[in-house]
Amino acid sequence: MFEYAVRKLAFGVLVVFAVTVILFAVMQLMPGDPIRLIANPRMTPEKMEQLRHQWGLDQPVYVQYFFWLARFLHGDFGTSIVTGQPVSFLIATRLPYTLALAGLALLLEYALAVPLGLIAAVKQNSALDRGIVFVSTILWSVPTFWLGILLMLLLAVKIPVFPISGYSGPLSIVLPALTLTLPALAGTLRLTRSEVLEAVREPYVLTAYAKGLPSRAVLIRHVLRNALIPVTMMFFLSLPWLLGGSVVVESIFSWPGMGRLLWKSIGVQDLPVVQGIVVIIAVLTVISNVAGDIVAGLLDPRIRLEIEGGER
Amino acid sequence: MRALVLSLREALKVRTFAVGSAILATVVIAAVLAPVLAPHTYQEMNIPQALTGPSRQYPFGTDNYGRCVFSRVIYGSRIALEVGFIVVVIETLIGVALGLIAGYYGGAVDRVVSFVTDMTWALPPQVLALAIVTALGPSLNNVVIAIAVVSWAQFARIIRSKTQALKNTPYVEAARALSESDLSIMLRYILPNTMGAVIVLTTLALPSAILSTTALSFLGLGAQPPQPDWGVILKDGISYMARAPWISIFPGLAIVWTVLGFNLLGEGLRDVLDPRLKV
Amino acid sequence: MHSRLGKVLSLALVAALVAGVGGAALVGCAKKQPTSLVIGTVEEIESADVQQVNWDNFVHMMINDPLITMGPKMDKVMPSAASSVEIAPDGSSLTLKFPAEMKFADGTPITADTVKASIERYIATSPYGSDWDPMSELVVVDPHTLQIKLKEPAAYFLYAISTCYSGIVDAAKAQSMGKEAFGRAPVTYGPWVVKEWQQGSQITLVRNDNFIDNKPFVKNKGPVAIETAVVRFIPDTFTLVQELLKGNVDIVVDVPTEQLAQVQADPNITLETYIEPGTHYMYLNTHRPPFDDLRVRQAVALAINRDELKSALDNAIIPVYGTLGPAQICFSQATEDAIKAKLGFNQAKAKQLLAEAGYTDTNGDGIVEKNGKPLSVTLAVGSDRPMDKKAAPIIQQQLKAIGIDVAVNEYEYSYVRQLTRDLNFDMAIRNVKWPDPDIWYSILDSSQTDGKIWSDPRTDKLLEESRTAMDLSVRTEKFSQVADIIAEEVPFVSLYSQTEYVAIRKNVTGVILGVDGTLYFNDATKK
Repeated sequence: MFEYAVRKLAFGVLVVFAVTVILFAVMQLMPGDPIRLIANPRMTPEKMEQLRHQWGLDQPVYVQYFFWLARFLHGDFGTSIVTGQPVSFLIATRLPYTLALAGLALLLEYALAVPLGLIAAVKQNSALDRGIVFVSTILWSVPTFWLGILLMLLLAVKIPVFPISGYSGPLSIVLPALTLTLPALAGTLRLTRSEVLEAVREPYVLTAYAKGLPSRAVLIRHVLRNALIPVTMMFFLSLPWLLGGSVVVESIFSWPGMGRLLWKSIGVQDLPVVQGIVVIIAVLTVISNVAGDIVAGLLDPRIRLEIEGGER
Repeated sequence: MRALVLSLREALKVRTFAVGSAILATVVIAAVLAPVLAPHTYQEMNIPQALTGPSRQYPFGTDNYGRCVFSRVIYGSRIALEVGFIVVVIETLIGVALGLIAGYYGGAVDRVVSFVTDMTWALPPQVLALAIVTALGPSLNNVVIAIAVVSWAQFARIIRSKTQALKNTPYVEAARALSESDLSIMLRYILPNTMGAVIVLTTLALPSAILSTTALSFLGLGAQPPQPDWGVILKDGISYMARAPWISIFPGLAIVWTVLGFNLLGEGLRDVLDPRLKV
Repeated sequence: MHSRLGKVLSLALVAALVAGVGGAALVGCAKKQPTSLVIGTVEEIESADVQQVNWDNFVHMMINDPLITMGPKMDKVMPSAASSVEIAPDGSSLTLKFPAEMKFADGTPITADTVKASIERYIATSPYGSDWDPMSELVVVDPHTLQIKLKEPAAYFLYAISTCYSGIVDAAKAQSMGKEAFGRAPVTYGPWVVKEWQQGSQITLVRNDNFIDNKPFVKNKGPVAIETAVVRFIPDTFTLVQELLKGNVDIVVDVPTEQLAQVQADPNITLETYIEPGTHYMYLNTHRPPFDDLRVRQAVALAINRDELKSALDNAIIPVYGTLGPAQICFSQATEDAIKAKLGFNQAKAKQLLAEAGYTDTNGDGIVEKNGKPLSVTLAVGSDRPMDKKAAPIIQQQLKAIGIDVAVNEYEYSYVRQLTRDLNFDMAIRNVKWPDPDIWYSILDSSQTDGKIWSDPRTDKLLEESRTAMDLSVRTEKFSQVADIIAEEVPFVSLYSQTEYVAIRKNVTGVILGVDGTLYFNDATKK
């Protein structure tokens, strides 16, 4: 198991580097460079060339990448071309906000979806079940930015419960987090529901009832335990999606996270910033994916056998 | 094939599938019959009548150029369906092909394919799509490419594991013993048995593609004027929410309606064809 | 088994909790702000150090007092940070005197040497060091007098040093702190100084209690009344307006026109306007067909109905036909009227010109063709230029009316600019925003980056001559001649100047708005 985890993580490191290469290449498809893109007409051509040379933008692409890589491997994330600030500073001041947002959204999603999914399964085919599934499906069908604006209008403007935007206290995170959580409920809810429904039909459940265990004990100790295995796997795999969704949400709610910075930096080709953020996000994603796989192995003996037994 | 038709009949008995189909039927009708249903073209401007509310002449009101919102929403269904279908077809073809190959051949081939697939999975789809469209330039074509590229991974993964399970079944072994070509085996024995999953995945990938297009439209990377893409109309309409709420409400509802239809359809199909499928 | 799942579940829950709560704890609790002036703006500053930035921002206006000012009416040179300005009669030098008791907020005295060091740092550090090219020498006459010797008279130089870019910074501290730290918390001379910059969120400024201002048109020449100012960065304009209406933001410059009615209707908000000192114009690529043909360019110019544009754009624009906008220095109404007479809206003539150029509609589809090829072009427009973005579909329709098929492509404005510089475009809407018309030197002169998009030896000569002319009427005449040549060759079609709206909540009083959009806070108070 440990070996598996290590192998997967090493693989993940390779994947992260491959991603930086690809993103670097993709950005080169954009014509121009950051100096030319942001220069006011007042900037003389000589100054432009001087700045381009200063930032090494007149070097061939692969040289630029290797310089970046060399610095990065020494822990130096480089300097932002647009702001002149160290990339590590720009990221460090914003990362906690993005993590807090994604983390809370994830927490809320599972805190709501799992119990709701359970209720829906237990009361299968009742109006409550159908209602829960239907509402969550509708929420899933609403475009994120529209949902965000509607939540803002309802809960911050019309009925001033939460702040409209920005960070001014713990309440500020609620609306942005809800915007990410509500559409994601449907998937987890359905999964919980169908897993519980399946688990209930298993023979051992009948055995448990036959043994005289009270219904609630059966539910929790046997049904839930097995039903929640895939749900727990999904928990780790959901984080990347929430990280990605933060670009739009951060923009609407002026949430001072990394998503907004990434968007702007891609637009002006501020490559050191883009590469830095992409590495962080890729690492988080790879860790989440590997964690999901490992947890699956830990919990589900069938999968563990497959992992440890090796491939035939 | 026959099994498929029988399954479909079964499916119609399932409520979600039926409702989903009904909803989508309306969208398809709107798309096909757009020139008939729409009272105006989607680009004609009537500036003196800009920002007027719903009326007999303009059932959904007008936008800031005096264009008929109803007509734009109707024509927008064409864009939504077209983009959705093209994205999903590309995703499916690539994902299924790669999944089959990786699962069937295993070994080094599998490792290479898995690596490539993992790379598209290593970044959140929204982020990678954002980078691709920004680099290639904002247009619906590039949006299609970007979304297809970031989404094929889920197809590949699932088809790969199903292929791995299927390749050791007796009839496949028999076919191999009879020296049937690998391609023929994959297409004749393995693929049909994954069809259920493929159909469900495809159907559920459509609403995802539509919502991704909408999100990219919010960031300004999508349809160009005067194309009546729902995401663009919605986004532009939000600034007019106080003055002319109809500009944003109707395309928003159209998106929800269509995505809901596909979701219900997909869920219904999943219940019938492959209930254990986890997306 | 049970315990294992339990363990994993608990682990997962703890992980999320840690991420969520820990993150929130990391970012700190809400800070209780004293009653401060809150300004909302869409773009975040690149750097707080104006000598490092590519684009100035509202914040720079608040922490950098320029050496001189052209005043709210942009009509004459007046002292600002300097206590007096003397221009030598032959225009060969500028003498600035500074108050003896002038100090930075931290108490460091400001002398002529301090100012000189600041200017030298600007020239070395800023991307726009070339602003000071006309200067030949900086002479410290006495501890409080600095003489700026010029190579030749340069009227445009005066404007360049009247912006926040000429703000005095403590060059010695800049050196000791290092560029990065100085970019976060510069030592500047202005009504406020930077206290704290919360990245991505807002920047908090505190009053400079040592501030002395010498602007003749303000009553309060000492430290400002408002102790704290916060500039919030709110990227979404919809959200920005909501915050304004709620009272969380006191001032918004550039109120989006879509939501103007809502803001106007609010009894607690005053809406002021100014005309943007600049123009928006549509470049035509003269290097390749179809716009290598003058007649086609003229046809495009004549097909634009600016009055229709104006009513479609909420009357928030002022049509411009010549090269300079009404709020720019050297604007001449006579020249504007003359060019309007030549290039004003005339659809029939536009169609006729296209026909003369060989384009006719042979297949009745509404689009003209030549040699079997339809006249189809692309129009690049900035998605972050709201007015241009809204104008583009209308221009598209107006050109369709004369038979030209236009495909609109929206990109980030910086990308549009790049496309024009790469000559990779057919039509593109760009804009200038700079009160001094010398900005057109940067765009049209063949020696400049944008000059390769289009330049002409006649305009080169006129622009160079205008740089050394000190007399306003002489400069105006030169620019009028430039405008005439542009109207003749039509390398671009001037479209409009925007009317900008500044919203100020009524509990903030005493703010003076200049014609170029500068806000003067010397006399401002907030209840």
